[in-house]
Amino acid sequence: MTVFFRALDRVLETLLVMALGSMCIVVALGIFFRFVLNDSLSWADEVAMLLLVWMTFLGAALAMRDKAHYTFSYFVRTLNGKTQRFVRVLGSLLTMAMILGLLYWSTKVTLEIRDWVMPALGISRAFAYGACPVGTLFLFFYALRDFIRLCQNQTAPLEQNK
Amino acid sequence: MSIVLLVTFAVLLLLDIPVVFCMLISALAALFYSGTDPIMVGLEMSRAMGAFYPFLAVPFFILAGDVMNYGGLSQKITEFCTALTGHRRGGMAMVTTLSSQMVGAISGSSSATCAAVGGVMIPIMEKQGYSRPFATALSACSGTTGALIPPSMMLLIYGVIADVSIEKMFLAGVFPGILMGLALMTSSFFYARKTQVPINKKAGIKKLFRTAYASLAAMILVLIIFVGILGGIFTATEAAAVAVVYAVLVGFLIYRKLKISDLPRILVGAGKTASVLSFLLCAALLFSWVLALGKVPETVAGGLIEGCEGLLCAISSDWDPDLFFLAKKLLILAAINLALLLIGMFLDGGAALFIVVPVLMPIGKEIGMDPIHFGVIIVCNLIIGLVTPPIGTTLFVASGVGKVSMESMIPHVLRFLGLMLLVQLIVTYIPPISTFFPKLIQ
Repeated sequence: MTVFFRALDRVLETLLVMALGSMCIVVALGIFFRFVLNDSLSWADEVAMLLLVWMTFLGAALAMRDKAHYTFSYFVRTLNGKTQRFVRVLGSLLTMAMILGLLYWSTKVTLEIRDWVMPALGISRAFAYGACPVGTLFLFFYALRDFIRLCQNQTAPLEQNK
Repeated sequence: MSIVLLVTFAVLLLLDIPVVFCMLISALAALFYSGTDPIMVGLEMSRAMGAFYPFLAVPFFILAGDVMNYGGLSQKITEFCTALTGHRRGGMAMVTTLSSQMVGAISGSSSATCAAVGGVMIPIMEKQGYSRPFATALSACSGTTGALIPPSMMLLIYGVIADVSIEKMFLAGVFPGILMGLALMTSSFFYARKTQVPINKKAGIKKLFRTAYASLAAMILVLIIFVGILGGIFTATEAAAVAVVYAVLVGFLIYRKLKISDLPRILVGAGKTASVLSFLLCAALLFSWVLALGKVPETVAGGLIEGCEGLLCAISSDWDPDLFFLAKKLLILAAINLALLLIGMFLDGGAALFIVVPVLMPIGKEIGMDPIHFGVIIVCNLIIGLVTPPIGTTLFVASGVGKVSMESMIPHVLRFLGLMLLVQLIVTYIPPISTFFPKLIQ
């Protein structure tokens, strides 16, 4: 399991760097062409949006790993050890169920949309819509790992409010 | 349907589920309840980003801030501010305020700002004779007020959700942000005079120039963004991209602290921060779509307006129509102020915006509010909530950075909070403070 997640981390981080890095380059190029060469790049905006979509869903998975998504933990912190753990397991289960649902419906949407074409690039819209199912799949792996750790009691309880 | 949505959302929030999933699950529950095809979840989620070109500016600004900070930017700004105002009564407190606002504007996160500037300034202020809890409270409050100075992440997000020009939102935030800073400085000045904090030796002109030069690179970044947008040269997204290129060049050529091998780590960090926000944006669009489907904004607006009208009629039966409309507007604004303050106490500013803006926009429209002014009110209000005890999220971070207990900070926070609320009222009831600058670029 450790090997799998280490590989997953590496892949996601590399993709994220590529997405954000090329996003900067594309938008900067677009500006350069418009201001200096007086010629607008027709595909710049579309590529930037495409990269933004991929960055969003891949980054969301990494944020899940690092627990960087906003939470409201004030209430859970008022609970004592056992109740707190129960509530967190419940929350974790609901989160996983939602991720699976999102995976299912976004895959369905991606498949239905695959014949539509993006105007400037001329490629299938599935390339943009596909970011959601792919990213969600990665999200699920990290959510599952959190859940297993919670069940095995490997997760430290949240510090109580004073 | 709307009750299912809101109740599920509130319950899930208590379970320590990330806000973004609370939104998704409650939206899904409401769709099931009303018998709508849940495939809408997938559709709205993946479609959302396509419509939001302005949001591209968010990852860029975050990246620019991270790159600049990597080159020791916050420290350079702090040094310059020290040379500038360190010799006055309460000078170090002013330094903290000024540098937090500058760093806060660029970094966009009040917690990050508090950690960056507070980490440097709290020990220095303590050495100067300020009490540690005071210094910590100040650094928490001033870090949050940076959220009003452009390029501000919260104003940007509001602009995206409410479909208002980001450039105008940026200009609208400047003056309220300065007012907030002045309020904090005034309060610190009286504190310093009362507790007889000693005064620094005046920095020589040479030192002033040296530190100004060192932080010049950062100032120019703010200038590029401000002049570029005010002059109509750049859109916010373009300004953000220029900021990234500029920050990288400065990091390589002037500060010389940045190495090619550092870039991947910075990109991963910034990408993650940005995708938390954009993922939330996708979920919020679905959530607000379901809200609208259940007619929640109209219901809330209707209820609020009716309640306020009822209250006014109870006070007096013969109102002048114009006066009645004005009184109603003021009363509704006060109610919104109060509600936002409460929400801001529980949720971090960015996340709260995604929830409140779709609900509040129709109300604002109903009582004839300028959407720009309305946005400044909302952002202002939410940042005050961030430092309102006992829950305010930034206070938690600050107490960790300053290593002081919440209890010891509270009296000092309350001292600042009073004045911040006063500024809030001024911003709410005197529209030109926020609408003057944006009108210039029409």
